[in-house]
Amino acid sequence: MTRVRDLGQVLVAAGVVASGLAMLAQIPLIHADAGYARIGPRFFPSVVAFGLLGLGAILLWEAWHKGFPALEEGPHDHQPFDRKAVAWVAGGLVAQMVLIGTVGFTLAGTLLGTCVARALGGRLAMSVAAAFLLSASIYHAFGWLGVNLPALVTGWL
Amino acid sequence: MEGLIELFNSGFAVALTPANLMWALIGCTLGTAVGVLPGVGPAVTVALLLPVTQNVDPTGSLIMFAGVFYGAQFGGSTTSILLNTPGESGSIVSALEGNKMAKAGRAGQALATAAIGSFIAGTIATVALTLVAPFVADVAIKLGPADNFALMVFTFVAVSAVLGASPLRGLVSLFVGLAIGMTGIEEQSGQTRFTLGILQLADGIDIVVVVLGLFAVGETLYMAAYESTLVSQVERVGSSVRMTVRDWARSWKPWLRGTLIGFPLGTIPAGGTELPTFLSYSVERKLSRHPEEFGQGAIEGVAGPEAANNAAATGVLVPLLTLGLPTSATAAIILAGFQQFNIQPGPLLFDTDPALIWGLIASLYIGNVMLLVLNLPLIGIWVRMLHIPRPYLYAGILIFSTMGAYALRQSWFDLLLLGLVGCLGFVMRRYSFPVVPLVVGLIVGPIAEKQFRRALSISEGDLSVFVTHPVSATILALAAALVIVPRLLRWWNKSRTDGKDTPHAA
Repeated sequence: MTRVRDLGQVLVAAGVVASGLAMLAQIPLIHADAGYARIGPRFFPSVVAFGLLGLGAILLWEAWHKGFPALEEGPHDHQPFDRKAVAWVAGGLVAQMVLIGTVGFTLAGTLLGTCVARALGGRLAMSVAAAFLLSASIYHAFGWLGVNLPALVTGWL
Repeated sequence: MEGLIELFNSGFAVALTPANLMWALIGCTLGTAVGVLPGVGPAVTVALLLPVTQNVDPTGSLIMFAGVFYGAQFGGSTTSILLNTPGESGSIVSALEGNKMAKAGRAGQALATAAIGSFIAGTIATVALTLVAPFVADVAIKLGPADNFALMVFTFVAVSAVLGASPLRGLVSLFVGLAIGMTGIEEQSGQTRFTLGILQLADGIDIVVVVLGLFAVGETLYMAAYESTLVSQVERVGSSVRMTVRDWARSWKPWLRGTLIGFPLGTIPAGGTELPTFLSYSVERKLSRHPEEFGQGAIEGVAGPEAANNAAATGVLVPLLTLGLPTSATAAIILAGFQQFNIQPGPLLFDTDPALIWGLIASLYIGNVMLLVLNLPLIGIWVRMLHIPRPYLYAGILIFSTMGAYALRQSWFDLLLLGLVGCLGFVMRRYSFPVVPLVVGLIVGPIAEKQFRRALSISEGDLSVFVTHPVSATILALAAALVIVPRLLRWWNKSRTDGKDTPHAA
């Protein structure tokens, strides 16, 4: 059985290897003098870093030579990657992160909700209305429960 | 017996106070709702509730979390029967037969056998929990740090390498979780680790952010990427949610068999409720007098797996309450709920706070009754929730998630982490990495490290304690066997059948 090498799998496996290496590089930065005897705060991180490195290497070998075994089937097998929809969701998340401090939770949440609903094919007016209603309700309901969220006009919006 | 005495002495007194009944009802209702809604699960819900419950009393909030955990098992079956999209991983199997029944106009019967079976299995399993838990706690209290560490290693191995298609991907997921769990200030030495000099990372990465990112944001990204135009078909409930005498006759044995399969498998840390449901399904198919109906909508194929599902969910509470070991994503986040109140579940808790433990267990009995009512006469409400169009459903899920992440520390930084973990979740979903090992590694990792170092400070740095202590040596040997034995069996089978050209070697 031959199969086309999946670039995504190779990248994922390489990512695991890279994380292992990145962790290893960080270990000397942990001050070790405070630990007990031989086993200080560096020991476990080293085990995990080497573990990731080793597992990543096997994963990379798998991806390169035969592909990941027993992958779950799903819509990703027959649907193209919808860049536009993903960009909408990602954009909404970034916008929320940047704006939440200045325009408050309700408005930033409305923007995020609208972006997500648009990505999945919601109608614009309906998306804005639904996202605003939900964000405003969350702000007030959770405010009442003792969770303070940032607001443009405190207690209102 | 000890359990029954405690249960009636203190448990029900705690669980039956009006406030705790209310928490149980809220939990069960929310749980059913999130179980029904595709895209949100009990783990996400408990994660969202954590910031809210900081000011609530521990017993009340834990009763509510347990209600969510339980309710989701009930609600999940509604979705799989009517929508053919399992609302919960444990109800994949009932989607097979249940949805076929619904298509044939027997949705009412499928929903009824699922709900009643869940109730019966849940109740029997809770009795088993009541009887078993004090016994396990009595044994567990004698375990030293080395034994506890060995138990955690066993859990790690079991959740990542036993279930799932690829033990390798399970282990990668586990190690990523361990790595994330290490970020921040290490408790014993006070040293910061892997913070990249970023001040916000000194507190570590909160499990709430990880759970919301993996399950909510990751799932939404996946939907956007591959299913942005999907419109799902909801089957009609049709007549009434009632079973005929014949349905009862065909259901009661599968319910009991499902319970027998589910509870023990739930108690061993083998990763939640999927395995028992699949096992129950294949057992029912073998034992059925109507094997030809399987695949066309056999009621046994709904009754058995649904019972197994609920019994296993209760079984998961045994290691969580008696050993402090979570074996599913929801159990892990409930453990975080305990930690929020500085409570460490485990054998000691049975002595130090019996009212909490037994109140929680008693609330499970009550919750089961509530859920039966919520899921049979009131089924119509939940069915309407299935009609929420997906764009608005996922918009809502993300708004809720960002609220949950932001509320932790009022910081945009947690929203950044949420997005990054979301990308991780997307990749894991795309390439079938199981997420449960990550979540379990994240929360158990730091505890394991503490036990490891405690064991070594007792042995004065001698690493051999783990193999010279008989208990820890046995547990570690079992963990090793979990990895090696299945591989040997497969290899042996393969070498035996080689040449006969069997494509099903895997």
